[in-house]
This record gives sequence, structure tokens and C-alpha cells, in this order.
Amino acid sequence: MAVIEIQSEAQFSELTKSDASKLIALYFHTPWAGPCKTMNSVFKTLADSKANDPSILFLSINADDLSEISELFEVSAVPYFILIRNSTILKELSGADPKEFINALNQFSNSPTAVNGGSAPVESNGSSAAPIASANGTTVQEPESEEALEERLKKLTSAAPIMLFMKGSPSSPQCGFSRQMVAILREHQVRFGFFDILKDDTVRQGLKKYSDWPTFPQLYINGEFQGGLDIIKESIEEDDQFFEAALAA
Amino acid sequence: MSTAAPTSSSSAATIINSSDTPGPIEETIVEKLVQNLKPSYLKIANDSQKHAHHAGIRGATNVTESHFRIEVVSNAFEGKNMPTRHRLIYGLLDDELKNKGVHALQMKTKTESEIKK
Repeated sequence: MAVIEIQSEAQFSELTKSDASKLIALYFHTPWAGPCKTMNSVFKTLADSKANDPSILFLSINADDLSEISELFEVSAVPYFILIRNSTILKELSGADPKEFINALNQFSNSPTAVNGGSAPVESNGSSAAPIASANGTTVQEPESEEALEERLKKLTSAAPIMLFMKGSPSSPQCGFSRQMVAILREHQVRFGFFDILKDDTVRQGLKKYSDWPTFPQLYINGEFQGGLDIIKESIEEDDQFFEAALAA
Repeated sequence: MSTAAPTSSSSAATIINSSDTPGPIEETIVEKLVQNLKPSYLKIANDSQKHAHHAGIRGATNVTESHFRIEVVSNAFEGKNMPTRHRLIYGLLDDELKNKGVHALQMKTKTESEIKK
């Protein structure tokens, strides 16, 4: 059986704890969401194609029926995919993009599946987020030298006048603090570019050093580090025109 | 080990822990901040419960002392902008952040003259 439809929390716990080395693909769906219908068959086809690969487990979860599990993983929209290995979340994907899911699966599994053409998930967000073409695009194959990484970070932090390094994307933030930061930027109708640090661990770790700041989200204005959520909140409290002032500086 | 000396302000330092039974990490955090910043006011709250089930912390070893909210009033912040103040605290708590599983710190940092405004 390729896709296992989870019937209970107990079954879920048992399956996810059974083998630490297995790559587990979680697929959250609901019967009433349109995009899920397409993804249901995509997920099933993919699982079937990997039926002979014992190192991957495909679990399908009805997010409404098993709301406890959805809450545990903070699933806010369906379809939703989470890749786990050894109780560690490797990647989370929101939305119905089969290519993105296949890419992610290949990235972490031992037996890659062919993908039709490359895909560079680029999210542009209406009037508030500026699309960053190369930000989250190509995966770097070889380990980057420190200088190369520093150059890349310099470019990234100046990719837009206001750059937000966050967990997730503005349309699908993966952490409460990142979500709040996006809300503040939108409230003040500020145009900003973003980078999802969950999708690039090299940038995630490198930026901690580059900014001399251990946490995310991180906001840069004109290539200069401004701070995390607390600081931005306080800055706005003190000066409603904080963003405008910083941009003009 | 000496106990923290009262600050130069007229009243002794006010230290408020998250509960009557703070955990070991919280105690270390308070000790480090008190010794280095000599705050007149320090309040620490433990928000780890709120985040224990969140995707980012699942499977982590430390889910009980991973997220803290800290309010510090200290003249050690005088003349320092906010990123510098926060970096000061991050630096003091580097071990907790890197090795002890402290995942996030929400910080409010004020000097004594700022709270009087």
C-alpha cells in the first residue's frame, strides 16, 4: 500500500515513531477544498511510484477529522505537505504545486524522481511584496566558500529597499513572530521583498553570523540590519513614520 | 558566588520570575542579566508552553524553557540603540541560545530615564 490514510492519532503516532531513518511525507487535505482533489491524485501517484522504496512513508491526513494533528503542525491551509525524518521537520509546503513537492521529496529522499523542468518557487504578493526572482531559486550544489556566501548575503540583504528574512512566506508564514512582522509591514503599506530562510539553511545560518543576530525574523532597510520583531514594534511605537524615515536615510 | 548588589537607584532591584519555581535555564538567565546589567527592574516570563507544539520546535529536547519574554530596565543601555541593546543580551545568553535550546527571546529594554517619560 503506497498511501496510508491516517484513521486516528494513535495510528499516526505509531507510524511516525516507528523508524527514525524513514523519510515521512505528510499530506494534509480536506474533502471540501478544490485544490486538494488534484493533489490527492498527485500524492497517490507519487506514492505509488515509490511503493518499492521502503525508506519513504506517505501518510495522508484529513485535516478536519484529525484536527489535533493539524493543530500540532500548525496547518493553516490545505493542501499542506510536511517532510519529516527522525522527528525533525525538513520542509513544509503550502499549496497545490506538484513540482515543488516533488523537488522537496527529491532533495531529501535517496531515490530522486524525475521532474518536468525545473521549478523555482517565487512568491509575489500583490502590492506589498516585491517578487525576488533569484532569492529562493537555485539550490547551491557545492559547498559555498565563506567569501562567496558573504557576497550572496550582501546581495540578498540589498535585494529590495526593505528586505524581510522570515520563516515561511508572507502568504504562509511559518512562525508567529514572522507573521506579526508581515502584518506590521502591510499595515504601514510598505513594499518589501522577502526571503524564506526555511528553504535555505545556508542562508539561515550564514545570516545569523552576518547580522550578528541569532533569531528570525530579521528586517533590513537599504542593506542595513534593523532588528527583529521587538525592535521594529518599538520603533513604530516611537515613530509612526519609522519605515519612511529609514528608507530616506 | 555573591548575590546581586542593589543598583545605584534609590530602591533595590525588582526581579520578577515567571513563577515560584523557575527552571534552571531561567535562573541562569536572571543571574547573568543581573550580574552584568545591574538592572533596577527585571521581569522574565516563560512562554514555552505556547510554542511547545509549534512546527519549529517539535522534536526539540528543550520545550519547557525555550521561549522567554524579558523586560529589563538598566542604565547599562544608556546611549545604545535597540539592536545594540538586544545584541548585548544575546551575547550574555549566547550559551543558552546556542547550546541549551533557548529558541526565542522577546525583549523590552529601557533605561531608567526612559521609563520615567
